[in-house]
Amino acid sequence: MKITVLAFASLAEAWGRKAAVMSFEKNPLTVADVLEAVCGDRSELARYRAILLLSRNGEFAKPDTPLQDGDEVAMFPPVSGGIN
Amino acid sequence: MVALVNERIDREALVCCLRQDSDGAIVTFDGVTRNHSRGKAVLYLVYEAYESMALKQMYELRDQARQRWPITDMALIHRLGRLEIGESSVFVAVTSPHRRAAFEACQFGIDTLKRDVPIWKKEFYADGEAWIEGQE
Repeated sequence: MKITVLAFASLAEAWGRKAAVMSFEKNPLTVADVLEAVCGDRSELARYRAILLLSRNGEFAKPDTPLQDGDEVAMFPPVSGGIN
Repeated sequence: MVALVNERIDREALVCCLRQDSDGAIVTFDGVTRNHSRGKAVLYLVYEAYESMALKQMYELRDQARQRWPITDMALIHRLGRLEIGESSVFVAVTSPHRRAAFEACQFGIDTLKRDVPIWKKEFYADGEAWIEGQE
């Protein structure tokens, strides 16, 4: 199945791109599989794995969220806000 | 009105379109870009958003505010792209028959937007640049 993967802010810079369409043989597929395919063993992305936020089709998702063909998965750092 | 914009935020026009004759209060929050951050001089900033998700969350946030407080309306506008120092990056306006609800809803609006909505800023300094993530 084909999944559109998006990244933002510093994560996009570390990944070297903002978007990619990736094909997966695995079925069922989860958000964690996409994360693994993107981050894999890339050390420059490793520090993000514990902090990044995930979404599926614009709604927050968890690693075990199942995916369907054509879904959009986004990975992003915590937002810039804060309490001040 | 809920929007992500690339041009200057027209605050007066927004407030004018929001206000109705039944309103007795208009509370606004104007977030402006600052020339310093964590001890460094900031020259300019760039804002980036996951636009479709950000808009969806901003609409939900407005709906939540309308459910929690007896307000007339709420506008949430965030600017994207490059901003110079002193420009409005985010503007929240709430109209209501009475002021208390407008104050509370406006504070809820800006605090929730900054905490939850996927928008990031990058600060540019004389000697480099940095994304500001998960803190301020």
